[in-house]
Amino acid sequence: METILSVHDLQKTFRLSKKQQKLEKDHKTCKVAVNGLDFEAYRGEVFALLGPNGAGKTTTLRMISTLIKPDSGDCIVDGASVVKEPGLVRSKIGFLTSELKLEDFFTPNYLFDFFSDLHGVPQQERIVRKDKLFGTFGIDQFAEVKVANLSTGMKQKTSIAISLVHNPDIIIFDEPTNGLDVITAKTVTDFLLSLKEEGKTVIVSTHIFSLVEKLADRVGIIINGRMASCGTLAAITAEKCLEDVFFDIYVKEAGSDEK
Amino acid sequence: MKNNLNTIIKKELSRFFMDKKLLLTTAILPGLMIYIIYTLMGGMFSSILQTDENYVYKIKAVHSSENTENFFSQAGLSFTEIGANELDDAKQDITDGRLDLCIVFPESFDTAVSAYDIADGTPAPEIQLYYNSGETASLESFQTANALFDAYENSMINKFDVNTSEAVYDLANGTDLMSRIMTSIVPMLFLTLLFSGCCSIAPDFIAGEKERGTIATLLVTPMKRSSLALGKIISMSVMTLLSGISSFLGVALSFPKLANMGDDTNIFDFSALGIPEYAVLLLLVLSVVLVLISLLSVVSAQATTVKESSTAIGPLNIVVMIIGIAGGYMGATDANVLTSLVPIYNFAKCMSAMLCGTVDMANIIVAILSNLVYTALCTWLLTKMFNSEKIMFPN
Repeated sequence: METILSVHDLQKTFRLSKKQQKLEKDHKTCKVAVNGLDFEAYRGEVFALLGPNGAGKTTTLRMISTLIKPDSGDCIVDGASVVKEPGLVRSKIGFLTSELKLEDFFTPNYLFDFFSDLHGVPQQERIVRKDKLFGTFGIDQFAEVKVANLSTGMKQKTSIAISLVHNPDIIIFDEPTNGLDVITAKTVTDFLLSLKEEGKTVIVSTHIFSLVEKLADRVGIIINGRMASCGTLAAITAEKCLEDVFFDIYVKEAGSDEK
Repeated sequence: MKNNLNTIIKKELSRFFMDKKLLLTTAILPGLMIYIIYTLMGGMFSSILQTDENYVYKIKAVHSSENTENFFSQAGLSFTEIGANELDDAKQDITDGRLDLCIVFPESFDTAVSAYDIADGTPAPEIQLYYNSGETASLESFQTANALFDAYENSMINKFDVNTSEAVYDLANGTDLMSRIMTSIVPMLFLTLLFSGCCSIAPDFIAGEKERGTIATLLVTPMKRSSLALGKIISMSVMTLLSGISSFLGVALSFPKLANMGDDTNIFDFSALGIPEYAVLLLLVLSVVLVLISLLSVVSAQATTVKESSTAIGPLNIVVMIIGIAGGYMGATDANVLTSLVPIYNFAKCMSAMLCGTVDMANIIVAILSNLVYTALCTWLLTKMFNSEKIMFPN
């Protein structure tokens, strides 16, 4: 299997604000968000990062997508280093997180063209991609409606379409179904599976077990910034269901942290 | 880089021109409001400070004399004779606004004046003028009567004259007056208008994008951060210029109405500037707009919300105004090229000098070039800020 994403000894520490320090039990001034993380993702698979809130999933994805820089370690995305070649990495990935918003004032149509321009997508290719993505998500009938007037689900679908304007080989989605109704969530999940069938690599972060079970080929369980377990979904769930495996690991990791 | 720069500029300008509310509040309302307010102010001042041209002053006199009556009638004024016992009623009429002026002469005024000897040591015959300073017509009639009595007094003891021929003695012309006023006010006024335009744009287009999370969407594209910074600065400069032009037109169209209080002197004569001066002025304005908008962009990028950004920009407004006033007052006399390196001051100084007709190209070139350098520095800083996760993603 061809490795398309390789994460080596990734480390990220955040300095806490005074307000945040007061909330911490031991008044620490820093928080280690990601602590020596290693994993790989292969071309054409869905890799899921599973973990509780605050485990470091989003921070990891933000470092892979070059929004933030690692303190140490590196991620190699299709041969490009996030530390040395962040611009090249950005051209190879499609990244979507709830932090990324679309400007309310513009229409999906305008935004699709705008981001296509930024990614340098040729005019002919853009038309084909827009037809396909807008058709898949049912955006075409809302293409000229301002984002401000779209439903939450339609906004999310538009965001997904726009993150894929340049037809990237690696798609990184942070909590892709968060806040969506069941119908929109199913559309998104089915779409991610269709991307896999097209040979794309999909990296998702989530805390929803059913989503991992439905989507993932391989899964990395991340707790307190460390990779507690990583392997194929089949191997991890060979003896127990994913939920039980997760809580076994969680109790063990939390206990070792307290010691 | 160039394509992405164009894309960003196009998008920001689309946002501006298609957002009717933003366009109205930034590019149309400032000029319109200035025009309406200044025009109304001019009209109000005019009505407060002046009476109708055809107005006839209502004047009464006690013990009037024949000589003074003739003197007044030559000046187009006349009064009605009343008895001394009607004086109290006349005073009440003045208080109530029914009468403008009441003149009380001493009895046998003409005889008393003829008999009066200054060396005698006795008090001179006294004329009493009752008026109401709260009424424009009453105040004007008092001033006119006072001046007439002064002239009458002079005519009686006339030993020599001053400035009686028809020659022009006041050698000041419209340009001198215009220069004096423009030197002190216009650069500061211009800076204030341009700064106001920047204030209505920069917080929304930089901190607003951070607050709404839309800038992060741009930061995950392969576009260079410098393209984003420069694209934003250029597009916001265009918007600010439009806002500045709108305000300028408002001032230019309404100022004559504010300044021209009924007489024919127009202190705001833009025909004193030629096309080359206007072209240089435009370059100067453009360069200072770039400095202001890039400076505010840096301040705005530091903030996490529009509100925080506006709060941070507030004190800068005072600094810009003070520098604008200093440049306006010093400009005409400050020929030192080094002071043209001081941002914002250089604009006020050069504009002031230009309006005074003392255009010094060396100063103007230094001012424009240094402003471009400051803009480049701010763009570099903004690029660094867009690259800084602590600034872009502080939480």
